[in-house]
Amino acid sequence: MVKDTKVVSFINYKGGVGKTTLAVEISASLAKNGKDVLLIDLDPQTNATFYLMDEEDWNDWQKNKGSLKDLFEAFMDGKVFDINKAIKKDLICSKYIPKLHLLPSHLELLFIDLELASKFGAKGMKSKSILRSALSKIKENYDYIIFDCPPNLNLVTQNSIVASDGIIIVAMPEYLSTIGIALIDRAIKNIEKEINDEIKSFGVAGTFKGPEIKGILFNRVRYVTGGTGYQEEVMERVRVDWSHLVFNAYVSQSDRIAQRGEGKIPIAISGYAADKKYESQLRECAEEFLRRV
Amino acid sequence: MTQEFRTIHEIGDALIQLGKALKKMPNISSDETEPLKPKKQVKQLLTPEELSKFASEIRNLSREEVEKKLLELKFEELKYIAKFHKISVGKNKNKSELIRKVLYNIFDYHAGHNLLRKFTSDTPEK
Repeated sequence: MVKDTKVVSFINYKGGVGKTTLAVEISASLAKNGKDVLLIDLDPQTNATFYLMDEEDWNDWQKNKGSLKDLFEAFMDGKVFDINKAIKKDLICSKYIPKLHLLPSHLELLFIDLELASKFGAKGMKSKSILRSALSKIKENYDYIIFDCPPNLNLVTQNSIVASDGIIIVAMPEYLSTIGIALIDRAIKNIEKEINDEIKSFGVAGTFKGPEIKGILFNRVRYVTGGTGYQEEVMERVRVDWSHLVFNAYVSQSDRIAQRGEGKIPIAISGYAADKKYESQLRECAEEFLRRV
Repeated sequence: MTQEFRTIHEIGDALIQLGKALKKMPNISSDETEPLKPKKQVKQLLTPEELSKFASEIRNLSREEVEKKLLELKFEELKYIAKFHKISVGKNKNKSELIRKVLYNIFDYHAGHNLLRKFTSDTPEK
């Protein structure tokens, strides 16, 4: 049966909102529910990678099998890169969720943006469609491909936007975090225009349609339901502008979720009684993700 | 002092004590003949129905119109408007700060948001 693969980027300009946590945890939830999921860590901070792998394992893997950095470098050098080889399928959590795979990031992905821009220019399709092209070879293996994006809109992130069908904006209920929503919306439209202008200049028929914002998911929420504290004030503002996009589900502020990265077992599958509240919130987020994407 | 006189005297003392106690109570006049002072009437600028209507239609008005109306409202009325729109009030009873918050949440935040969504740097072509 041919899979109708959905490619989704978890994005926000603002760092520290919990993009990685939610990208990993929702991926784990989907895999727990029988979906084939590929999580791609685009962030040179490598947080999603180390959420699921330990450092020694990653070091061996990136030396012998490769990482996302090698994919971009191969493209720039005009070489072939076997993306399948670089995808890690036996994670520490694989005994619980064998259907979750990971394409690890690399600390030196930081420099790729500059190299891509200097080689191909910052504008135009060539520097932005590398991931889209690479994924076309493996898409059929997965129900969902999820990008954990870095907190910027540089070329590597723009690659994920061009490759994606949908965007999930992760936000905290605070003012600076919600500025990112407007900026991402603008960025998608700009990339779409840029690529379509280029297509038109080549005299080629057809247009590029950028990804849709599929949802705005609030994370690290503290307010008590029904209250009118500052967090609820911020969430209400966003609902006024983006009413149909704001997730009904949200994830509470929690140290327990933050601790999970050390154990390499996502809270979505941990099974600990103390994690139940967050497991349940993440499950609701994953269920709503399925409805929206 | 006769027993009768002593009893009247005691009754008198009791009445004096009662009078003193009554004087201390609110809304009791020290002079029997003095009418009770009426309670200070709080001037309501808007009826509850008008306040509710204003709150629900506020987004359809211009920022200038809303600011003018908000300046006329009492703090409790402003609080109602804020809570209607899920704007946090806090403990500080600062009327001008609450007006700023209402205007920010209803108008300024969204204007800024839309500016960023549509922003382009109009660089003239070389």
